[in-house]
Amino acid sequence: MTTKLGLLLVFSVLSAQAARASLPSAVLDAGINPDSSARIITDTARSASRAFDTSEYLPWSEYRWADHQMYTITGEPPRRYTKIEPIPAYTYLGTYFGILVALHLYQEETFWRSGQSFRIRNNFDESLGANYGGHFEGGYFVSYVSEQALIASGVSYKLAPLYGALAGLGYQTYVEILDGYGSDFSFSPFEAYSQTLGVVYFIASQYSRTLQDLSPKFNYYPSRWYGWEPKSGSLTPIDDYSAWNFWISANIKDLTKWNFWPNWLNIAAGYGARNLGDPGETRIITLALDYDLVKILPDGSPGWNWARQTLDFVKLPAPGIEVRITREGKYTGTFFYLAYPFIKF
Amino acid sequence: MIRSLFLAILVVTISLPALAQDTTHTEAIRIGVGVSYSPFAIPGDQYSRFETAGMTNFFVPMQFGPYIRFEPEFGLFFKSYNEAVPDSAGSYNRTANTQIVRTGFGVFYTTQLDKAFQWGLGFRIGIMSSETETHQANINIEDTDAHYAIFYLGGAMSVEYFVSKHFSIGGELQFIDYSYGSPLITVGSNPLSGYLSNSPTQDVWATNEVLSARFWF
Repeated sequence: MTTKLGLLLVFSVLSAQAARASLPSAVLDAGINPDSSARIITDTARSASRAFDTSEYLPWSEYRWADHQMYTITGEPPRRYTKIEPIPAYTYLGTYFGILVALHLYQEETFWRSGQSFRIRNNFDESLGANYGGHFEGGYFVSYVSEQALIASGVSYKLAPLYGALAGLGYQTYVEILDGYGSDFSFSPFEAYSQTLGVVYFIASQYSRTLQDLSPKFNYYPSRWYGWEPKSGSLTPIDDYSAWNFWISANIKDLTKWNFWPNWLNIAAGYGARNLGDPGETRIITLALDYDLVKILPDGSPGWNWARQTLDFVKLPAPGIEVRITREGKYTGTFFYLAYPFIKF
Repeated sequence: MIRSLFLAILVVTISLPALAQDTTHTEAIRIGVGVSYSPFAIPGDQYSRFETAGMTNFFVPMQFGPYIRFEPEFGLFFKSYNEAVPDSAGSYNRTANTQIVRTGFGVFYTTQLDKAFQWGLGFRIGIMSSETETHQANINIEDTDAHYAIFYLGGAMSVEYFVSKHFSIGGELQFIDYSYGSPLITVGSNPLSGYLSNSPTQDVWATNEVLSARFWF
């Protein structure tokens, strides 16, 4: 559910970026940033043609994530102190709220179409735990997109992640609470805990380079594409946890400083579940290579740079190993893939 | 109605940063710990299923810049009950364990009137869960598990006085909706005996006052 929200948010923010480009800028063109390295100037070439007053804006060299540059939607660096620019704020936050309302209406027609009094459920192992991965990464991803929309609106680099996390927590809680009123669903305390953990992880990552090197990622491929069944009774792809994998991708180069290791190549550990609700429910534990899209994809316009940074949340097919364990805890095999989860050796 | 209210609050919450206009050089982030005392039990809890879960809460206040405060809260209550029940064979043992958990958070738009005094407007939202497991050492009587839930949501106005940089005392007036849900009853070994289709539900609006103390790091 939250992942779909995220993709919609990405789409909307990109749309808003186009609108933003036509707006007058309040940015001062006051001198070249003395802190910018050659690498930074290259990465942000299009925005560096305009210089930013570093007393108002964070130098690009300080706006980084682990060992690479971070990008904003607008192509302007984040502000040091909050100064809301009304038109961009209305553009981005209005789009954001519009999506929330649209999603609310959509979910009223699907998950919450028949309601009843509030209920809490106890079935901890309902989706073999895959739902908790989804809620963790949902909390993280919605916080990230919210943070980026707030930075584009003029909120400072220091407060935007915190407000973004609040927005992420608020939206995730809202969805979970309304699940509690849906007759086909109910409130899951452990889903609420896992999405809160995702938000906390997002905040902690702002202050810990090690956590920045351990990035949450996800992939969704319909399970029938590679020989499994969708989750029995799932209403949309969002709650078909038989088709998702949730990953933590480790930036090996930055963690180990090994000279021989390519800086774009990560290793990701993942978890998923298959055939949920049917005989043969299976836990899937995976280890696979992963690519850092910020380092692989070419530099471009501000919108493109932000898009490749955001697309890096998606785990693409890559060589990997899969271990299968049944719901009852029986090991059923280890499988090697050339391109997980599609091409098996 | 509660859904619309919830959506409205969500929108307002996410709008709060937009209200925080120019905060130049005042964007301090502070974190603390606190306790709050609410002088009466949960409104509408006529069967005492939630007992004193709301009497004392622990929370972690976080002030994000001059305007936004976020405050996760939690409260716990555990009770064990044991009795010998007489029967034709003598007696058998009956035990009942109750755990009540309150988790939630508040978000406030705060204004610092002077160095020592702050007030804020916001809301609180959360869940209270009450679960009672009953076990009877008698093969003719099955074990039961009854799980009740309250969803609470409402507005709040807070005032706070900073006795020193690191310590403050405060008060909060709340107007909260307590929505009591249908219970999940499990009988015997069947974990999904299910929600009772005809179980009573209730909804309570009530004012509430809270006294609190916070230590700021």
